[in-house]
Amino acid sequence: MSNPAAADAAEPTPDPSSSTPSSPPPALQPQSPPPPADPTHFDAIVLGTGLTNSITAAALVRAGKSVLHIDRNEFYAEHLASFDLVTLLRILGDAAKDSDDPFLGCYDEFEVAVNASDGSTSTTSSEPPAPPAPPALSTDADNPLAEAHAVDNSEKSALHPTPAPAQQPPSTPPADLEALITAYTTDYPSTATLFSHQPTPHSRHALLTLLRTSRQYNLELSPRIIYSRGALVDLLANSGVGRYLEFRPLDRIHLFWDGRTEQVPGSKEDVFGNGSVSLVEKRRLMKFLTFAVGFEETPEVFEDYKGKPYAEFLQAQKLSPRLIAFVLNATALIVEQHALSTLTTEQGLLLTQRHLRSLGRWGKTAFLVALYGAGSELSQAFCRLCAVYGGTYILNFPLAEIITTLSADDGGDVVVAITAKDGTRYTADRLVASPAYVQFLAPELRPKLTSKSVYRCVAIVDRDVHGSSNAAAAADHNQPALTVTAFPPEAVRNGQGVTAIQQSWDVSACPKTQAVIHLSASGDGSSHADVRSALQALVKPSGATVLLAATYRRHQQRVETAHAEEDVWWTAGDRIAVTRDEGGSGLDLEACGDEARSVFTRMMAGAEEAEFLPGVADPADEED
Amino acid sequence: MSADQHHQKKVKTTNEEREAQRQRSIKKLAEYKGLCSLVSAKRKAKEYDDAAFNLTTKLLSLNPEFYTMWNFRRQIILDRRTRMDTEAYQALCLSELQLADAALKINPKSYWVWNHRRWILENMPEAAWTRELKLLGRMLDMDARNFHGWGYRRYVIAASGARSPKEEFDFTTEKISQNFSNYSAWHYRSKVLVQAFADPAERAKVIDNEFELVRNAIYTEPADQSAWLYQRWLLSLVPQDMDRWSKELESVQELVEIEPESKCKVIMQGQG
Repeated sequence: MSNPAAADAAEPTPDPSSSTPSSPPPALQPQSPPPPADPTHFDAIVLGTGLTNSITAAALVRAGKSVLHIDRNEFYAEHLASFDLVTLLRILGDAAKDSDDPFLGCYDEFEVAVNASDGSTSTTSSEPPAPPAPPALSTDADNPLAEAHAVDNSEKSALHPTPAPAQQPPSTPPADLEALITAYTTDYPSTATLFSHQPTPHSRHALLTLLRTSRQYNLELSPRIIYSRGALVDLLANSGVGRYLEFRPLDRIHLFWDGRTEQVPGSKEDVFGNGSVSLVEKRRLMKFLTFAVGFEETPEVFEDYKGKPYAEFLQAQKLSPRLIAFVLNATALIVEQHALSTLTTEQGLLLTQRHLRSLGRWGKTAFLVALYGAGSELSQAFCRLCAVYGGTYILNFPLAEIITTLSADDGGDVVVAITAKDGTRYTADRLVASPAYVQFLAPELRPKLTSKSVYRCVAIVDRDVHGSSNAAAAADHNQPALTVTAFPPEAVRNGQGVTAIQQSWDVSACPKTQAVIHLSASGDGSSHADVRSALQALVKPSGATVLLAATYRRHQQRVETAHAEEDVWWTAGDRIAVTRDEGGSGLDLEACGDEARSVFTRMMAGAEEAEFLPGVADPADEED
Repeated sequence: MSADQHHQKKVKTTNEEREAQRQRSIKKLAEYKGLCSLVSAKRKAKEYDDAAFNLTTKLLSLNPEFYTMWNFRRQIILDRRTRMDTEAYQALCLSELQLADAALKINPKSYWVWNHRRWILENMPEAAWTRELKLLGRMLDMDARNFHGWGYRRYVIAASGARSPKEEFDFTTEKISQNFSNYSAWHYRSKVLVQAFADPAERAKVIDNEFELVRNAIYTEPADQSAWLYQRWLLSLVPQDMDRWSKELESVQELVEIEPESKCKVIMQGQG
């Protein structure tokens, strides 16, 4: 095995070195073009390693362009990144202190609650109640923070090309971690039954127990699932990038309805076997689903409802409120009130159709879950493709400013220059940037940014929240299932609807038998209370214990584009593109592929016809 | 997928490679033809030696559809049996089942292979029924509608008595819940239902449940014929039960109200 990064991507076991969010692309470039005459000038500079930008970078390189791909962060994927537990807490903690940073400034209102009840885990019950923290923190080997720093350093040495990122300040002393924990360990008035009011010796000990296994967690900032028959899967297959990745099918989708979660019938067999839907409902649901798969073929059915709310159309199909919730909340996966009321019939039918068409390809639902975190792994896989074909990568880049000039000698061509704090300077003909880089642009080139709040919670629980409350049965059970649960607005006194994703060891999210729950709520009036009450409703029936819950607010940045339907902001005569913030409230990544394609097409306009991410021969196909 | 994903060949198939591929096919075909004439010669000469046996193994691994060769193979096996002790013969039969396993992987619907399995089981000292049931479970997991598999299952259960009719009834419940559009499963269900529930009171109760089950299937997918056929069979069990007949008619009428265009209307008129 000549390249450890490649081995990691193929490894099903939760190997910590691959699960950290920055296994670097390979330095080896057997097919790279000869080095350009000027090593500081590129056809394009791409700022931000989110998925859209990573796909765009790979596509440009595959079309023969020289690309410099830069991230100010020391990790890949921006708001789609995935972290071990210590790093996640550190980043969210740093964010609360540093609101001026264009990336960290998108996160605030961070709180951690730790289960402190006696005997909740075997470790706590067997330990004396006095805080055992100091001995654990005093040795470096046991210190999760020291470990995290060790990883940082190895990443830097593996990075290429040569410009070394500025060294971080010396390692924070271990005591800082505890200070950080204490600062953000607050009480949860709305879920007081689950959590302690104040950090206690117990809660601190419970937290340290978790932190010692930090590396077994892969916690996504924006958890994502992938449509089995979506354009993104096609792109992964055609471009060959899918070979770097591993997936598991999502097991089930649930709807929270009438005070409990119920499985959403995903197939004909689910409808047939469903014991809670009446015969007439079954027929109406099947009839609707059969129509929706190919709705364009019978336009007369929905003609009168074009431009009208999807919900109205569904009512006209005589679907009961529960079936409407199945379709809207759990199939179209829309839970935000504003979106629910403004979604038109055509849009809703497209979403329903996309879901239905993805059924029956892999597993029992329409979705795939990527190991180690979808957004993070997919972004890195496209970066790897880009690097294999000669793209240049710098993470942890201390960007100072972006200067755009009209070059006088070359017929008024625009040249983009980026400079680092240490004076390093790179130039390019074109620039693709994510919203986190907008403030480095000259004021006249900046798009207007607005922001929208998304409330998120990531919770570590001790067992499958859909499992039996009987401890013996729960212990006997397999790995927790991979599920999505949709909470319609008002389902559990939540103002806005909530989506919850349960992940498990199967996708290397957490140690065996535990589960990670990601919840999110967005839209007007959404709040921490929405996600907390959903979490409580989700864990209650199984009697699962929430070991740790981190909640925070995310400011999703919106670039105001010329046309409402456009996601990308273009300026400087189409030389500069600002892409969308990908870490919003949605659950899928389809828009990233579409957007990358449109950026690529517009950037390559006028050039000889260039294919978007042409296929790479699969060595497996060439076997006799 | 190999772990060595990085050093992928970038070259597309060139003309030379395509030509090389063609040459390989030609060579393969010549080898197969040579093999065929060798085995045929042996068969005509009634030579039941080891060479003949090994040649049939090779040929049938390439093409399990060559039924004459299965016959020849059985002649060789019968000839060998006369010179073997029971233990060795049992081992030979087990290896025959393995050969048939491999052949079914190539074509799970090959009549000759299923036939060969059956012949081996009937001619082996100790029939390996447990092994067969395990294989059948896997086959029907892969393709629940393979009628060869279902027919063979009936044969194995009848010959071995390894599972009770009630267990088989539950097996069909499982398969139907996985995909109810399955004539073989419904048909088998009708066969084992009668055996599994002999007590009239118990059977009446089961039949009530069956009407409910089939109604769920019909409402979910009225266009699927298999459930309608099963309903018809259920009704034939209770020819005098007017309550049941009118209840079923009512249910179909209700369905026609929701689905005026569906074909079940025709079925209702036919039954009415």
